[in-house]
Amino acid sequence: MMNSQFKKGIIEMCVLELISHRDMYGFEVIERLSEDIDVNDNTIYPILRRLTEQGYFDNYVESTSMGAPRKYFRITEKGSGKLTEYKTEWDKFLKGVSRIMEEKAK
Amino acid sequence: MKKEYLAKLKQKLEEKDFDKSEINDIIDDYDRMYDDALLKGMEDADIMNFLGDPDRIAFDLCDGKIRKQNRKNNGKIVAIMPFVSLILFFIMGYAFHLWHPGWLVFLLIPVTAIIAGARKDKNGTLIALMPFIATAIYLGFGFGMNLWHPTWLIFFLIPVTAICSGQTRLLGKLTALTPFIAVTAFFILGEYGYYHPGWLVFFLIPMVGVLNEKHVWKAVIYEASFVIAIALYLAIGYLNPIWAQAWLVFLLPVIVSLLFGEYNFQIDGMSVGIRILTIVLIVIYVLFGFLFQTWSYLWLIFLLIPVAAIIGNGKGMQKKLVALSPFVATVAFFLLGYLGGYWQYSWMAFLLIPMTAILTKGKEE
Repeated sequence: MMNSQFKKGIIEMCVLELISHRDMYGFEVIERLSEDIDVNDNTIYPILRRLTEQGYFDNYVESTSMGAPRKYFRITEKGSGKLTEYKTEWDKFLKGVSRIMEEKAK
Repeated sequence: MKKEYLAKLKQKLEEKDFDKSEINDIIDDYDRMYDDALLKGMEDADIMNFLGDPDRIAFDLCDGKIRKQNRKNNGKIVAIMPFVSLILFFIMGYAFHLWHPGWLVFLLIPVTAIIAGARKDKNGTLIALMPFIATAIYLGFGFGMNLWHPTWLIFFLIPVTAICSGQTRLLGKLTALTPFIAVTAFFILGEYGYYHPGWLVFFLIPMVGVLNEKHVWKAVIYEASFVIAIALYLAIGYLNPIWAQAWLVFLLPVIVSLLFGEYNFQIDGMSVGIRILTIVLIVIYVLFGFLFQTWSYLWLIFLLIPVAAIIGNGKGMQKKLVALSPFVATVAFFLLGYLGGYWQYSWMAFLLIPMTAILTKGKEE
């Protein structure tokens, strides 16, 4: 099973990536992520909140035709910088892993 | 279902010491997400699974930067306190020759740990601190002024604080507090040479207890019977020196109880054996009291009532030992202090309680 801290780090990057494309509300982020990643332990909201506290996102509220107004998450400049940093680390990590795996295959 | 889910989440966040505004913000967010899930046509059970377990959410939210920092700072204070205490102890000892009672500074270690770990539950913190506060006051008065007795009554602050924090009803609080008030008053009166008839203060316990009676007329009759009995007892005793027979007037409240058919000593589900034991002990206490003036210490025999109840229940030996330890400690404490005059040492008998709990816990595990 994947280490939970490692998984949290990856989810954090994915959340930043998703919201960098367009502003999203909480439920939408969880729903989109759970389509492709097993997020049964539901750590997404705490991650969204922490990233907001750290200044990677800011919030605004938009009224809807149905139900209560929604709180949207929008990536900040600091958040975009963090995402770039994450992506660089991730690429480096993946390349390293690929090299090790290829070496084993030889 | 949504209401319950959000209420549980709120409770878990409160337990983790979140700010009120922070809690409201999180609850608002989950409220919206729950609504969004409902709009998607999800069932309640699926939504709760989708949003996550409140306990886990609160735990994960705790992982935030600010809260981490607070815990880190508190941890530092707790970690440094043994060294601070040691330095203070040496300063007091070498500079002022106050090795004793300077060692009391070591109480700072557990006290700091309790305060640093304090959550929003201020009552809980106060209850946890009370044994240290009581010990410090007790030892201060004991070593400082040799007032071991009746200063030991300060230990009543421990259950009294717990009662005041737990009960919400004023009358409920008063009823639970009366035994401690009565014992304290009894010993204070005793110190001035009034153990007899000072023991009458124990009538406060049933007199306050009766105030919980639903029917006002019944309560009035009960109270009247107590007041009349006490007044008659004092009148007979002081006007004619026949204290030995005067106690018969207390049959009046007993008769009133029998008439109301509620003679159950305020203990629900008391077995026949315990009832008989109670009556026998009352008879022994009163008889020996009048014959040998044993009022001030023979009350210890009443501890046999809860002891017998504990031994008689179906719990395991380890649990019985833990439950019995406060009574054993109280008897040892009082006998050593009162009969031997060793109040300065007898308090150590109370160490039996945590020691028994620790030893038996080890066995259970």
